[in-house]
Amino acid sequence: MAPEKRDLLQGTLDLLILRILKSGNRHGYDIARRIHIVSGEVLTVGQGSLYPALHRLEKKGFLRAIWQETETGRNAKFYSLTPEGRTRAEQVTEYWREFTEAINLILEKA
Amino acid sequence: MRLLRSLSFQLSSLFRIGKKNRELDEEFQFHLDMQVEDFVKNGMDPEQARLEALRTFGGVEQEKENCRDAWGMRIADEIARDIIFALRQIRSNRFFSLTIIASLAICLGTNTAIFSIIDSVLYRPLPYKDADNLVLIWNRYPLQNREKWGNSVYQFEERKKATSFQDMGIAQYRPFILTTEDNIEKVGGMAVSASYFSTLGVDALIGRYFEEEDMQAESGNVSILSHKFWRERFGGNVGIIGSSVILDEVSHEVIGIMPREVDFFLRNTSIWTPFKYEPRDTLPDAWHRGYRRIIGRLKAGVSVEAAEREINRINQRFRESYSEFAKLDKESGFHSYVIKYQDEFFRDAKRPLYTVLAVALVLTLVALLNISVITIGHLNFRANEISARFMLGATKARLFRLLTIENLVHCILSGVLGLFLGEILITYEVLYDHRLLPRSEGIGVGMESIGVIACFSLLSAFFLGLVGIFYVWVRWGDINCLVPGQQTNTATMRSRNIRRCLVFCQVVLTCVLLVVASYFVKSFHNLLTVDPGFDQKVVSVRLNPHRSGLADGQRLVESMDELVSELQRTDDFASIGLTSVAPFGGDYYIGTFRVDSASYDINLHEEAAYNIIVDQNYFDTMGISLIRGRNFNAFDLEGNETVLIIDRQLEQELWPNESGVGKYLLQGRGDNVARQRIVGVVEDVNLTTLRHRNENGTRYFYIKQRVPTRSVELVLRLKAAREFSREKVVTIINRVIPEVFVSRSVSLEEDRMSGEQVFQNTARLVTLFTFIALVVSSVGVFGIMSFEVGRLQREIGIRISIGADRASIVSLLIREIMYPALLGIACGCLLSLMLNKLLKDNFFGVARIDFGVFILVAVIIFFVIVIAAIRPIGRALKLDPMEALRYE
Repeated sequence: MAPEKRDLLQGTLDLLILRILKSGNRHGYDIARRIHIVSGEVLTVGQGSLYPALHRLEKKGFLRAIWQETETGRNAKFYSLTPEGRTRAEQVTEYWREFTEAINLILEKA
Repeated sequence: MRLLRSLSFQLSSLFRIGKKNRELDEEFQFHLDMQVEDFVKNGMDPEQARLEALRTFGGVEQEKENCRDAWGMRIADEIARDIIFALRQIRSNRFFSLTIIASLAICLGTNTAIFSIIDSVLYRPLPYKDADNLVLIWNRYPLQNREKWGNSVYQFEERKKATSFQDMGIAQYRPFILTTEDNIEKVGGMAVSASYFSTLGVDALIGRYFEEEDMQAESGNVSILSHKFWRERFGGNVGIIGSSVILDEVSHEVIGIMPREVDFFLRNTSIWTPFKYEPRDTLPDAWHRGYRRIIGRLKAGVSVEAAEREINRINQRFRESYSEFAKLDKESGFHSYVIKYQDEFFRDAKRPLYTVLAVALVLTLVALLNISVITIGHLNFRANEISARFMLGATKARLFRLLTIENLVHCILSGVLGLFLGEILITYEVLYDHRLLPRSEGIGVGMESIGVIACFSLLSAFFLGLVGIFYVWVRWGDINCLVPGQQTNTATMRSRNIRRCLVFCQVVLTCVLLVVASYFVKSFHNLLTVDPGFDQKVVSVRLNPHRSGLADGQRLVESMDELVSELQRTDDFASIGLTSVAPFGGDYYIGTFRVDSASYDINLHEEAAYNIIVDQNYFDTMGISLIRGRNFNAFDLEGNETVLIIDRQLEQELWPNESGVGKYLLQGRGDNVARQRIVGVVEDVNLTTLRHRNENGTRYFYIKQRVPTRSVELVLRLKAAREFSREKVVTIINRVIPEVFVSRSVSLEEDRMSGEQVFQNTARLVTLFTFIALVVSSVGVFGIMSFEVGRLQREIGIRISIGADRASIVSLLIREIMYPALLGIACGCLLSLMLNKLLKDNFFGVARIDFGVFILVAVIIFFVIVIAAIRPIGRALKLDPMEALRYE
C-alpha cells in the first residue's frame, strides 16, 4: 500500500532547494510550494525541515538571504544562490544522477 | 575558507542574536500568512484557515529552535546558561568561591606586579636610536682573577680604528665638588670623549656637545649638565648656557644640556666634562693602565662576536708590535670582551627579578593545587547534582565544559582583581622600592601584563576543569555507582589517590620554596653576622672642603689635629682616626704600581690595589689588627721616605709565603719614580661589600705624607654607653674648621647592608611568598583531612563501636596524609638540590647541601601538616558511633 504523503529521502532536500533556486530568488513558502508543484504534487516539504535546511545552507555560504517586497507588497526573506551555491548545485545534481542511475540499474536488472 | 565563513556567520549571529530572532519570527509569520491566504483562496473560512495553517506548520517554537541550532547558536546558548549557573553557584557558595577567588587573585596580583616590573625594566628598549647596536668593551685578566676590567686611553685610541664600529667613546667616572653661592656639595660626574654622545646617538637638548678641541689640555674648561640637574638646580633656565659653574674650585662654562632620556640611564651623573688625556696615557706602555669605560656603536649587521674578535685581533697586533707585553698578557690571560649595553645595564637586576618571579609562579602553582583540593571537595558536596546530570544523559565532555566554565568565572574574577592588586603593589612600591631597579620610569601594568594574566586565567580554568573532570570520571565513572557511598572499591581508591597526588604535589612545591627561602634567610643571616675585619661600632663622618684654600687637602689635614683634640674633649669617643675613605663608603681609588724586584725584568708589569690614606690611629680605631711590622708613627714625616702599610691579600699576591715588610714598591715613570717602603701588614677587611674580602689588596698611605685630595673621613669609636650625636659633632666641626661641611655621617653597622638592598628585598619577598605557600598548603591539608574524616565516618563508627582505641583511629587518618607528605618532602628536597645549583650565586656562606636546612624544612612541613590535621582528627575522635553508623 502506497503512503498517503511522500516524504523526501534523507539528504535530498538540500539538492531540491539548490535546484529550485537556480531559476531565481524565492522565499521559503514559495520554495516549498514550488517543490510540491514541480514534483507533480508528490513531494511535500514540511516547514520543520525546510527552514533549518535554508538556514544551514545560508550558514555554509551556499545561499544568500535578503529582505525584499513580494508582489503583494509584503516584506519577505528571499533566498538566492551564491557562486559557491551554484557550483554546489551542479555537484549534487551530478551526484544524484549517478546515484539514481545506479539504483535504476539494480531495480531493472536485479 | 568555508570554515571561516561559517565562523563569521556564527559570530555575527551571536552578536546580532536579537535581530536574528526577530527576522526568524517575521519569516515564520510570513509563511503562516501565505498558507492562510492559500487556504482562504481554496474556500476555507479565515479562522479555520488560520487554525489549519498552524496545525500544518507544527510546533512553531520547536521549529525556531531547530533554526537556531542551524545557526550554531546552541553551544553559545548553553555556554551562556553555564555562565549564569556558575554565577548562581558563586552566590550560593559564597565562602567556597571567595576562598578560590581571593587566593588566586593574590597570586595573580603578585605575578602581575613582578611581570610588569620585569617587562617595564628589562624589556623596554633603551631610549637611544638603534640601542641594540650599543655595546661596551671590557678587559678580562682571568689568571689574575680580574673578570671585568676597564680600558686604557691607549686601548681606546687603538680600538677606535676597528672597522666593526660606527662610533666609539670613552668615559671615566669623576665626582665633583660643586660650589654655589649658598651651598657646596658633591655631585656625580663623568669625563667623556667628544665622541661619547654621538656614539650614544642622542642630540643636545640645548646648546652643544663636546668637540675635539674641548679635549685639548690647553682649551678652556667646559661642562654639560644633565636634564634633571639643570631642572632642579637651575630651574630649567635656558640662560644657564654660556654662564659658569664652579667645579672643584675651577670655573667651567656650561655649553649644553643633555636630554631627559639620558637621566634614567646615568642617574648618578649630573655633570659631564671633556676627557683630557694626560700625556703619559698616550704612550704604548700605558696599554694596560686605565679603568675607563668604552662604549661603541656597532655598524649595522655586525655581530657582538665579530666585534669582539676584531678587538682581540687589535690586542694581538699590539702584542706583536710591543713584544714585552706578550709574556704579561699570557701570564694574566688578558683578552677583551664585548657586551651589549642593554645586557650589561640590566645584568645585576635580572637574577633577583627572575628569582622572585619564579617563586611567585611556584606560589601560584601551590595555590592552584590547593584550589584543586577545594574543588574536588566541593564536587563531593555536589555528588547528587553530578549524579543527576549523568542520569539525565550529560556526557563527560558536557560536564567538563560546565566545570571549566565555572572555574573560568572564578579565574576571570581573580584575574581582574589580580590586575588591580598588581597595580596597587606597583604604585605603592610594596614589592620593590623602585630606586633599587635600574630604571623606575614608566613601570606599570601594561597590555602585555593584561595579556599574560588573561592567558594565565584561561589556563588555570582549563587546569581546574581538567582536574575536576578527571576526579568525576574516576569517582563516578562507573555508571552503576552513581549514588554516593555506593562506589566500588576501585573508584574509591582511585579518587583517594588523586587527593593524595594533589597533597604530594603541594608538599613538593612548598618544600622547594621553603628550602630556597631558608637558603636566602641563612645567607642573609650570614651577611649580617659576617666579620668584615673591622669594628662596626664605629661611626664615620665625611668632611668635604667648601672654600678655596682647603681644596688641596693640606690645610684640611693640618686642621684635623685641632678637631680631633676638640672631639676628644667631649669624652664621648674612645678613639678617633682619619682616612680618605671608610669601608662601604664608595669612591675607592685604585692605584697602579710596580714591585721593586729583580724578578720583574720588564718595566711594564703593573699591579693594582686600592689606595687608602689613613693616620696612625685609624687601625686602632677600626680594630684592624697589625699582623707584621709596625704602625705609622711620628717619624714617618713628609719628606722622608714614603712608607706604606699593606693588607695580607696584597702581601700574599706579591710575595707568597714571604713577609712584605721592608720590601719596596715603585710608583711613577722615568725620572719621577717614587719608592715606597712597606713598614707593616694588616689584616684584610671587606672594603666594598660584605660578600667578598678585598680582592685587589690595599695600600695604606700615611696621611702626613700623602694628603687626601677630596675629602677626609673621621672614624669615631664611641666609649661604652655613649650615644653618637650628629648635631654635637657637626657643631664642633663647624666651630673648629668652618671651611668644611659634613657630606655623610653613618654608623658602619647601619651602612654594612647598603650594598645588599636588592638581595635583602629578594630574600624578603621569597620568604613572604614561602610563608603564604605554607599557609595555603596547610589549608589544603586541612581540607583533605576534613574530607577523609567525612568519608571514613562510617568506618570510624564501626571501629569505635567494636572497641578500637583512639591511637588506631589517629593512625588510620594520619596515614592518609603522611605517606604523600613524606614522599613530597623527600622529592621536594631533591628538587631543591637541583634548583639551589641554579640559585647559588644569590646565596652567601651556605653549603650546596645543607643538611641542617633540609631537616628544618622537613620538620616545619611535618608540623604544619600535623597542626592542620589536628582539628579534623579531633572531630573524628569525638564521633558518636551511633551517629556515624546512621550517616548517609
